Amino acid sequence: MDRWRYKTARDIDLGPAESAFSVNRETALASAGTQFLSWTAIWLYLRMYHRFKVIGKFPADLKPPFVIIGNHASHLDALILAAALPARLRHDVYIVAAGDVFFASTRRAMLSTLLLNCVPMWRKSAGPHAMRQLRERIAEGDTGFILFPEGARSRDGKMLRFKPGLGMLVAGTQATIIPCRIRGAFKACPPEKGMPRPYRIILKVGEPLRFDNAPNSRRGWEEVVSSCEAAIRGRRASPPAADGTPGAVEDRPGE
Amino acid sequence: MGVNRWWDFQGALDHPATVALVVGVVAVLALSAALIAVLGRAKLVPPERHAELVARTKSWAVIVPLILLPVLAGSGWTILALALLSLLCYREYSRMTGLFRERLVSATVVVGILGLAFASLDNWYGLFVALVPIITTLIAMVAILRDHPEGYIQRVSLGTFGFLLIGSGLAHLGYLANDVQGRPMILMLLVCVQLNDVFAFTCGRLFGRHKLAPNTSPGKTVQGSVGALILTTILTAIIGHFVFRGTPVDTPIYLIALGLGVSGMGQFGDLTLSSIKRDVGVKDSGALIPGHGGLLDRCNSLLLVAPGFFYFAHYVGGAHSPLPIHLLTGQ
Repeated sequence: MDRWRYKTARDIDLGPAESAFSVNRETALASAGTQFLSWTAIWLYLRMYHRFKVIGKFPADLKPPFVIIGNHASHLDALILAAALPARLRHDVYIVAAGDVFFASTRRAMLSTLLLNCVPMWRKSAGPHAMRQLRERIAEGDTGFILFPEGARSRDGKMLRFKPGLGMLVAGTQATIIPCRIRGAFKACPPEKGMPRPYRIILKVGEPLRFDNAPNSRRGWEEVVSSCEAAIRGRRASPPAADGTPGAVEDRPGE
Repeated sequence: MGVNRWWDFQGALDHPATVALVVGVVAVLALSAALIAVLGRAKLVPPERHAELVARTKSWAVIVPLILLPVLAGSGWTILALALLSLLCYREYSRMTGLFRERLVSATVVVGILGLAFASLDNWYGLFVALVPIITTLIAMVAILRDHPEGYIQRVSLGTFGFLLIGSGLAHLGYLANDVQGRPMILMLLVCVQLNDVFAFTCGRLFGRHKLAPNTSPGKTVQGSVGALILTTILTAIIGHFVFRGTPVDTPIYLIALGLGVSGMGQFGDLTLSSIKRDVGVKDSGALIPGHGGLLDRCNSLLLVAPGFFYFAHYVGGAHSPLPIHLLTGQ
């Protein structure tokens, strides 16, 4: 009689409104229902309006914990990554979204969580401390995340250098990383434009990566970030300090 | 009659016991609000204690109309309101126990709760009773579909227990609404169960010496429990005499038995939720009511009483429905 173990909801102490703003929010039956409807609609929209195409496959045995990463040039990106996921994984996956945009008000937070299953990341404080809670969820092994390691949308379509946050999240964990390259989203829906335009969008799913041996320290973070960045750029990993500066770790001014 | 009875608010005050209960509840609420205001004005209680009393009174001022309005508005409203309450309580239960992660099992319980509401609206007692084995069987079946035997017994048991305790428990209260004296019976039950809690608390405060179940619920005492048993039995018997006037229940023996049952099962319902919370290791069942914990914390005492009261009223013969059965499904 020893095997039963209750795993109470992580947000049990939070009311519905507080929970929407918490990274510990968990999807339950009602939100899974609204998300199912919204993902179906989003998938149809991408297929019909953007002639969405996926090259490559997510590993057949992919299960939480995992982190799907991609280049970020458009608000469509998160929808693209989530829509491409197999249905069995879609309710376990949370989109790590900018708090100042997707959680700017209670109503917006409700929509972001009920329709897109977002959890907030406040960019001003995206350090090891903020990553710790997400890291705990990865360690518990029942959660997948979608996140954009650039930390912001590219304004010119060229991929930015990755921030160290991804490293802080996964270095030394059991998470499987799936690097993905999104093409066409910048043309279809660039940051400064309003309505998306009907350009084709292609998603290339890369080979899974793991960093269970990387140390959870600055060096490990750099290792994670540079291999992931290289994987998405389609190059082999190069040592992070090629030009003498740990570029991936440096904070760029103006962001 | 027929479907009109669902929304039959004109008949709200047909039964004199309903009038008395509504007036009584509103009067008690108004009196205690006035008393608390006077106590605060005269500075007879410490300010923080007074603030707490004011907060409690305010929440009661919201809860009481939320309960009274559907019951008075008609059997349809009562059944729908109780189905909603049941769904919200199940949500808290499943989040406490972690069952919410088993979406198929949870969805089956939700279907069961909606099915019980349908059977109540339809006044289809056969379906109402049959849903218990149907949903239990379904839970055992859908829990297999994930092909993940590890934890199978746990998710089946948690699903079945949740459905029986919350879904079926509260649905019996809803089904009472189909009855001739549905309104007074439901109001009587709600009033007696709530006051049962108050009596236990007050008697415990005044005379409490011996702990009742220190591991389950450290605040409860034997004296509080016995005090509640006596006071609630008296209260239930008196109210019951007026509610069940002219029916076979209206004899001293039955009324006292009913009172003992309401008090005893009310206290066991309270302890049931305490046991669940202790076992899982949470303090409150949720945080839906700010500062007051979850909904389940509020209506735990009803969960066991409702079926007990229902079958007592039916089998002793005090209850019968004036409605044709199969209001919706036809004959």
